[in-house]
Amino acid sequence: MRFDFSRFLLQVEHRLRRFRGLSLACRLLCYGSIACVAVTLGLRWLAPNLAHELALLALLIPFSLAAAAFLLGWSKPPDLPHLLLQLDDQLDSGARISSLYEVRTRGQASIFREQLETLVEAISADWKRGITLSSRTFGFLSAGIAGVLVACAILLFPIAATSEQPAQSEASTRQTPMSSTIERAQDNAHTTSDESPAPLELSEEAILSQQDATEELTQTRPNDELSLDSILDDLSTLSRSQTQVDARPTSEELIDLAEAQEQARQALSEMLKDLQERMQNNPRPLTQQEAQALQHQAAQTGNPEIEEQIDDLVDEPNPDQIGEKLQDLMARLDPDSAETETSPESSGENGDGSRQDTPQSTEISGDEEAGQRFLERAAKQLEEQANAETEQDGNSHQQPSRQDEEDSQETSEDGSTDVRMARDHDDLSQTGGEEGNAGYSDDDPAPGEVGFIREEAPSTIGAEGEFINEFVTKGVPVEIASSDAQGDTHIIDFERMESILHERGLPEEALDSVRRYFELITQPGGGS
Amino acid sequence: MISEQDFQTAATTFERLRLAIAEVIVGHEEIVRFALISLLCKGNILFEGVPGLGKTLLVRTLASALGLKFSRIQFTPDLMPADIVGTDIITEESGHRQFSFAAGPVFGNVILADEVNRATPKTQSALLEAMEERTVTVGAKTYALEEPYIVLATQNPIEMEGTYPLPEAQIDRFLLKAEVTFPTLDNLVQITERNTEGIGIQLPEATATASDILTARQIVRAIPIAAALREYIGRLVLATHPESEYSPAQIKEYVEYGGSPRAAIALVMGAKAHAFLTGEINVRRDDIEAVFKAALTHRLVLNFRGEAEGVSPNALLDEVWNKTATN
Repeated sequence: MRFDFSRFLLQVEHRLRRFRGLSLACRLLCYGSIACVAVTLGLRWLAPNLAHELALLALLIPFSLAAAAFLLGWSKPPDLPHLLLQLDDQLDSGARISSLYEVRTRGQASIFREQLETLVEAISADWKRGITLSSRTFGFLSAGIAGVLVACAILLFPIAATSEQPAQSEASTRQTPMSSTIERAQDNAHTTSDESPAPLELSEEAILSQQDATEELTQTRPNDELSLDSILDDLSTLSRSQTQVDARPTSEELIDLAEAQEQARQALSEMLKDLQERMQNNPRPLTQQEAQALQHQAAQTGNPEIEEQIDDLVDEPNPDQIGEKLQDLMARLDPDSAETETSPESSGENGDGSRQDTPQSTEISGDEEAGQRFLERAAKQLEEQANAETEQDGNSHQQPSRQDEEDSQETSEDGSTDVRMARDHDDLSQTGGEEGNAGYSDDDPAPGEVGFIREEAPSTIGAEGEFINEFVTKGVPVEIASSDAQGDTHIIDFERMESILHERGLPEEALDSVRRYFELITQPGGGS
Repeated sequence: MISEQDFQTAATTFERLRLAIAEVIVGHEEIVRFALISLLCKGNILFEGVPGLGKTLLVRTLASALGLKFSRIQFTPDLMPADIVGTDIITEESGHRQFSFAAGPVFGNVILADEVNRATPKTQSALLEAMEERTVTVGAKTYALEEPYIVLATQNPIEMEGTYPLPEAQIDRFLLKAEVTFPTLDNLVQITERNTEGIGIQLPEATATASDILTARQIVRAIPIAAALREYIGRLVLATHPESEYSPAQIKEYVEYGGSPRAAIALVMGAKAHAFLTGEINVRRDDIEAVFKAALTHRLVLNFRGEAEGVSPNALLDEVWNKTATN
């Protein structure tokens, strides 16, 4: 069979076109994949919420470029003379193919044509190895595929991450007040746990249960039905569920939970005690801040009955009823204290400064005793003064002023004054005035205190500071006129003023006038 | 139309010719091949080398082997153009005096222009017409030279005293330039042996006729060369020009003028003849490479810097060859 050089040329041309298209396609696949990676990175960081179907379109960049390049490489007709010479060089055929092409093109009929056709026919059996894809093309192909895989990984990674936590994603996309409230409640719960001496460690099961509770809360109520009450209910429900969840796991966690609840009960008890003292001084309904603080603290105890009682207390508008309920609550929280309260003879025995052993009635009686003791001492001083007056004629008017000077000197002399105040304070504690060690000090703040301003009374307020200190109960705040108030701007009530006036020897009529003045200004609408 | 028989006959003839020359000339195979290439390409060749290397013997051997009319012209400084081409002289025949043309040594088939650069340029240029047009014009009459015609010139290196450099127009008319180098030790021993023993050197008998040479020339011209290789040759020649986009940096730096179109023709024809002499039926890249330097080395005109720095044209051509891609 005669060698068909034309067919041979056609095969060579097609192979060259195909390979040229592939070479160009691989090159552009590589460059396109780089662009694809850049685009996917840009989409991930600049438009993370873009639907991944749209993002996947970026993968079309390298493939579309490669397809276009292949078509371009295929469509361009090859330069056959150079192609054949290149093929000759690859096959080391001594330019016979290209020479034969030249002879045939010129239409020369010579001996060389026949000889060349014979030689080219022998070469053509292995001509395909003369046109191959270069290693560079394979390099571009590998790089392009790697780039596309990287782009796929970049695109699929956030999708996989979101599919792992669908519930969290849905909840986060909603961003409702309910969810934010619950998150805050969870944060508070965790914060409370952290404040406890032995922090609670939630097991994985507990966390899942808590997440279920959160999801249940977020799904059971539409957003438009949210209100403050519902949020508070959810808070308490969440706290309850968390308490139940926390109570589930191991014995160590149970012990920790019990300790945390006990501390919450103690903190609630102290809050109630402080509140009772304030209510005794100034009967009034509970403020909203106090009510929320109590409810929150009650929720930490994990006792539904206490929570119900706190709710009743909060809802009670009558100050008298509030006092009674406070008493009941304290009795429930601290039975020992209730016993102490019911047995007056035991009050004098419990002077060790323990807060639980110092009922409010004992404090009041302690105040009265301190006042009586102060009056006795004042009378004694007056008697000594009268004796001095009898010994020194004409000096009766100067003696009080001298006494003032001595007082002022004593006040200015820190050491002597402080010692006497401390001694007086110790006296108060020993006689039942244990308020000074009630547990509220700067170094040891009571847990769970919310909404109460605790300020130590200044040690000296003018010349009468020591008298005020005699009547200031430790732990009971002194009302301050303003936040930037200095020590000389304190507002005092009639009881404190009465002590000062007694010390000054004010006549009883004038004292009555002062009392009426204070009663007048402390009535509702009277100012003060 | 050339038949395969013609091709085989011509190939055999030139192989015999080469062997006949090789019996006289020791070594210098490349020089002999260049001489045959020039003969096949209807060209002229310039041999360059110091005296005593066998240049003249080579030419005489070739002429003897070809069985053609041989003429030798020894160029000297006082040689005149008429001494080469001939002149009209007054002759008396039957009582009548008339001018008749006395042909010079240029009229022959194989012309040896020995030490051509020792004559003045004016005398040198007397060969121009004979070398290119194969004609000689004396007075108002032009005489055609008989084919096959070939001028084989030798020249001493230009650095030697009493030499005149060939004009560019003339040197371009040489198809190839071959440098005759000193023989190797073995060759030198053989040379002394052949010249000092026996009957000495005997020029070979004629092994080819003028008809054989003319037939071989037709066959060589018919040898196909790919168009891509023609383009390649064109790029090679253009690369010798400093202003060309194909030329390497050294060409731009040291060359004043590059190869002429005659150089491209010399490359194509030389490659064809080389393919023929090696038994190939088409021109290959190797054939081009074989005649590349010989066809271009004498056509490069160095600039002042190249001359001053003693740059070798062959080194520049190596750069051109290495920097010019096939495709």
